[in-house]
Amino acid sequence: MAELDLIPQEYRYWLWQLDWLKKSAAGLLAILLLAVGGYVYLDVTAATTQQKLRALQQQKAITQQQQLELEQLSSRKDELARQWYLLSGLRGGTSVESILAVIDKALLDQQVWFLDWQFARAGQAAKPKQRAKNTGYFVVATGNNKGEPAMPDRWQVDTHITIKGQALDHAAFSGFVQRLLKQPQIADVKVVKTALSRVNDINIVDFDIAILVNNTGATG
Amino acid sequence: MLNQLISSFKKNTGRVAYGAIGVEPSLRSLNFVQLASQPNGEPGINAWASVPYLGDRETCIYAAKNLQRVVKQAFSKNNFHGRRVNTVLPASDLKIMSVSYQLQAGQSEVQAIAQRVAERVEGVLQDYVVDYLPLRQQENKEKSTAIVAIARRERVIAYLECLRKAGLKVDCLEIGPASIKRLVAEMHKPQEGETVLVINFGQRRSYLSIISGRRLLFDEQIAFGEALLLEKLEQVLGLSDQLSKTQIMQHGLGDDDGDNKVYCDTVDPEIPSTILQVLKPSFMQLSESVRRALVYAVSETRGDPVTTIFLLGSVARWRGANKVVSDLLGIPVQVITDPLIRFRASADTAATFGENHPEFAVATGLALRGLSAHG
Repeated sequence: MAELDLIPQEYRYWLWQLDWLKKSAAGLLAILLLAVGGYVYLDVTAATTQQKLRALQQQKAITQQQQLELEQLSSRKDELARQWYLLSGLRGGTSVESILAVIDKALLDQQVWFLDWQFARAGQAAKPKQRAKNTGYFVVATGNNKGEPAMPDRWQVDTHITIKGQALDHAAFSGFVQRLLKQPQIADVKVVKTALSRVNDINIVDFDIAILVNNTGATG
Repeated sequence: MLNQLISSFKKNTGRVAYGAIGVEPSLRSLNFVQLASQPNGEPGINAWASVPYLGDRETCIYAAKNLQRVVKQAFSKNNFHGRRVNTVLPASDLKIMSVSYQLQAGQSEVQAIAQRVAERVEGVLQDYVVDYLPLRQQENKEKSTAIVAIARRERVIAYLECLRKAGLKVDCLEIGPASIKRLVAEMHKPQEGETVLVINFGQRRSYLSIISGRRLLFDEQIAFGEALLLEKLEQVLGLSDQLSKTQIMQHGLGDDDGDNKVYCDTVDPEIPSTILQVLKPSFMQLSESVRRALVYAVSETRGDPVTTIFLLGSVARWRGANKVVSDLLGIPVQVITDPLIRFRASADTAATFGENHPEFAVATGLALRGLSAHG
């Protein structure tokens, strides 16, 4: 049923506009507050995250530094261990007296005698290919780009004796070499040079040999 | 329609639905009533308050701060829900008239009524707020009648703004008779097509409203009221207003029946009859106005007579006033002494509910808007 109402339409419309404005303003304010709140929240969260990230980065840097130090120390330890094994090898092995006894045993008679001899014991990088070419008497160290010597991967201790001597004839010299080779303490005998010469009208054989003594083996 | 659907839904959910607060700026106080739809669907009283003005009505309801103070006082001590209100303009700012109009070719109903109203107001029509209730068309189907309410736009806006600034949201601004119609319909539960007359007594003016079924057929303002009657008693008997009223409330008017009979045996029987003799001419004038209204009602309802007269307001509270009116008009008279009693909760006692609340008639009718089956 129809009812009387004396509120003017334009007043109702004005009230509606006012209400709409208030609600819009409230909505905008709410959005603004949410945005500010969100910004502050994100800012705080970002700052906290940054702080954590920095802490983690610091921890990571410390860890990397420690890792590097550890690697360096580990490398140093390996190097020292190698040197320790090398030095042990150099200090150990077949004694000079037993070598001399072995050589003396090979002389047997007065047909071979020595003019000069040298005894050497040294560490040598274990490079099979190079060793095949070289005689293996000397330590060969390859350099790096900075000119510093690089540490070889494996080492072996070589004990060798170079002897300069004379024999009455080649047969005596050959017998001497063969006897040497039969000794288990002798790894190899290399004839470096042989030459005939005459002393007091007697033909004698001058020779240079290198005797490689058996060691305990490669180290490293 | 939407409100009805919402109201129906709320009823079905079994929850209490609070209606808008009825606010009536009466002559001496601002009256508030709020009803609530109970789970059984019937309206029940939720809160009511009557706050006297600090000054006169004009300086209270048209001054935002004063009105705010009154509203705050009412809300602070009572359990009102929400801020939605239905209200009326003070009678002094409102003009209600019956307008007969005839539609010209190409003229709408609004234009025809506006044309007739423009002829009867001072100044231009744009300075006024006008609304109307169309009544049925007459026999020739060309002439129609409408009840038209008119108020100055500036006064309407000023009142609405004061209410808004007082924190109230006005749902509707209607007229007192429509509110009374709603109250009577709710209390009396008239049968379909039944016509009743309501006399709402004021201090210097009273209002005659004819209600047919759910329709307000007629509303007229007449120069009759409690203050005028008391002045007359003062002139004739030399009694002050207060004393006259005390005498009337104690001894009644003339020979009353019922409970008053016992009471009147203990007092001087001359007093009520003397008072009645003095006031009878005034009541005769009232009855003449009522008869004209009754004739109008019969013409509008095609012969349906007014079956009951309801008395409301100041003079209705006078002991024996109902009998005087009934004797003069020959129609049964009922007095609505307490418009709130119909909505009292079953748990309320006389102690919690208080005495009669006659001043809440209009506010209760306003509170019923949107809540009652009668509007």
